[in-house]
Amino acid sequence: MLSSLRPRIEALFAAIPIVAGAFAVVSGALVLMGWFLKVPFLTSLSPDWGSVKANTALGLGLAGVALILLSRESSSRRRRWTGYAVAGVVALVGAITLLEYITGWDPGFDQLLVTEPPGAPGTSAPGRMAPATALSFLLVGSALLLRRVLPRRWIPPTQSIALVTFLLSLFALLSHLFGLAYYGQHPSFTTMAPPTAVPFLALAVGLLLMQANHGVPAMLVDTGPAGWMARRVPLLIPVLLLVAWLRLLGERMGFYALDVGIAGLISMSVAILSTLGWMACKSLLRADTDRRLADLARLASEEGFRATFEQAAIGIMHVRQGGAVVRANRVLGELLGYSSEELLQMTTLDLLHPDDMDAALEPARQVYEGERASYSTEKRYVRKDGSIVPVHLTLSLARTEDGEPDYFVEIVEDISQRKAAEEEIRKLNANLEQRVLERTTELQQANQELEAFTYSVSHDLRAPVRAINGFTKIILEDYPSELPDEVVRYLGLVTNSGEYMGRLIDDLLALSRIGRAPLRKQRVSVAEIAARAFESLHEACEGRSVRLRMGDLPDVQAEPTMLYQVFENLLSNAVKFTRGREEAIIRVDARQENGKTLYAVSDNGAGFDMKYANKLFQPFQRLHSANDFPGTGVGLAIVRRIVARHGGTVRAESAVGEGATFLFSLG
Amino acid sequence: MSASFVEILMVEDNANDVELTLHALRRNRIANSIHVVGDGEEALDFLFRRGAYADRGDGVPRVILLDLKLPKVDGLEVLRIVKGDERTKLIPVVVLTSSREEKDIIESYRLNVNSYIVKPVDFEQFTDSVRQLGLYWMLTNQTPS
Repeated sequence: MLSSLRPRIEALFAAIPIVAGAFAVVSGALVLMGWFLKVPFLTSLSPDWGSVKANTALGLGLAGVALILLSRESSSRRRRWTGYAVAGVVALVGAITLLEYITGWDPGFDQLLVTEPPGAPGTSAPGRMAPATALSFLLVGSALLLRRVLPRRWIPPTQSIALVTFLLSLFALLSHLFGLAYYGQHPSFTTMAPPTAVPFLALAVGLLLMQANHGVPAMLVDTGPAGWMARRVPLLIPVLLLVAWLRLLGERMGFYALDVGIAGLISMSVAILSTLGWMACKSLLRADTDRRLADLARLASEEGFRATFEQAAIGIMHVRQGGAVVRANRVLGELLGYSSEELLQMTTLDLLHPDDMDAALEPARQVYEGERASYSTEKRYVRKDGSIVPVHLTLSLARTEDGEPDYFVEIVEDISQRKAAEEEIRKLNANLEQRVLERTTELQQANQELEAFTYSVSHDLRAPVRAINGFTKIILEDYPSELPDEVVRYLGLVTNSGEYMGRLIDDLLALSRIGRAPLRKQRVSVAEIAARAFESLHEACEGRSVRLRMGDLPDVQAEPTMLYQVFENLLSNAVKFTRGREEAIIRVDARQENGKTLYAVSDNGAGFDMKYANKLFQPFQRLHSANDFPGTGVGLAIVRRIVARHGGTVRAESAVGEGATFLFSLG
Repeated sequence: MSASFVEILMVEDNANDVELTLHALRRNRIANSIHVVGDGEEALDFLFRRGAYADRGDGVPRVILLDLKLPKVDGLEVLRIVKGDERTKLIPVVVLTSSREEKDIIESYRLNVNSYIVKPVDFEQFTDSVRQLGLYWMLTNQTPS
């Protein structure tokens, strides 16, 4: 409630000194005008009262000007110094007059502006202001000059002087109002006239509120019980005045005697002050209770926070900008091998691994400047014993209530186990790779040796086979008449076997060559190669009706001679296994399967039982007897090898008597 | 072994192959004067009249039949030396081998072999090959004299 009114109250407090100053200036000006134009009403208002002296009017006006000039805290230097000079003149006016009273010295200062005829009411020397007025000028001038003196513990001197001035003026005013005319009984003194007292009251209030952030005005806007109390004290003034005036009135009207009146006044005052005191106590009690409850709540939350901080299973520390550790929990101490006390003597730069330091600065700056809320990273910290511990660090910023950066909150997680596990995995992987490499090399070597062995065996086998075939043929050709028929027949069998062995060796060599020959892929026309391969089989087709039907065959990336061998083998099989058909039909097609192009060679021949399909592509495995269909059983093994070297696969689909389809892809 | 004139020099370590080749040539009446050596070193000695052939008469064979797999100095080395020497580089060399290896074929042609023939296992094909090479190199082909 008060806080929402605060800006308006502050504006009011800022306006009051100006208004008060203006009031004093106008008052002084009117009185001076009265003196110069000789209008008694303007100089004394009432003929019963003493006149306001010309010096007083001047002093009031100057004091008002000084108050206006000095009321604003942030005014220009020139305005300020003018204000101080005017305030000095005001104090001097008071001081000179007081000096006159004390020493009896009369330099004609009182008649400087205007000559007042002697015998004015309440006036000891013509034109001289009352001692209380002179004192008030001295006080007001001093108060203005002292406006910058602001002790921390005490009420500022400006305000205490203002209060004294206020009381002096109030006293003078009340004296007149209550008709006591105290000064009048002492003709050597001039009384302070009510028209003087009222501007002084205004000046005093203005002085009191001039330093808005200190002393009384600050107390008035306080939200606590102090402010509550301070705001009610000024209300006491009119109430007490009213009570006193009523008492005096009753007494004069003869309702009661003097002593009864005093007793009544005192009783009323006690009642009023007690009520105010009681209300103040209640306010204090409420505020105190609230505070205690708040303290308890804060204590509880601090307890909770402390427990969280200390008992967390993760390292936490609070770090000032620059790196000084201001709080660190037990876990962090244990992690780094330092006691909490030791950590408080250190900075994060002592903990960080030197190589990780540079990378830490920029993100920390960004968090500090509010460019990012937090950042997480992996760092290395150095333990007390010099060993290194890898940590996961999360850094964020704690701010004060005003939103200013206060300290970094650093959460430090020990990740050495995770790191060790990662390292372990990395080593295992490296080992695995190494072992795979070794095994691959070994296998490659074994494979090469096997290839070389196969080649050399096949190669060396050719010579004896050639000799067997050759010499048998020579015997049969050169000595046919000298041999019995039985011998000729046997030698024929030897020749057949020798020739079969020769084909076996040639096929074996071909198979071994595929494994070793370099793979030079290029774009080739499948249709052209298939057609050429079929062309080469014309001898086998002689005397038969064999038709080749080719579908739409897309080009492919392949080694041409190898692809030729594939078609040669598949087509030769197709020709061979359709021997029993009146019309052999061989198709070469392409189809798409799982985004890959499959080439298919199908026939309407003998087919095979699918349960032997896995044996088809093994070298020397045959599903038909050599009598039915001659062959070495290497052809499909060659096909599979070539296809595999191209990164593709081959499979067969068939049923006995229903023809066979061989499908292959090339990568 | 100091034949005055040799028409064919055959470099072959396999006695059976020598026998079969000679049989084929004889049957086709191609060459009368054939000299057979069993390894590369002997072949080079013969050609450059060294060692056992130091006092062989002048003249070079009209054709050399060269096996690749030979003891001591192998066939490709013999080919390299023969084709690299001014005295012998014009002699036609026919490689007659069991090897179908592409690298052997390529290397032979790189060394300027005149023909490369793979010995077939089949006797008739073998005889036919020898007949053809004999006809070509002995009768058809004209060499600078």
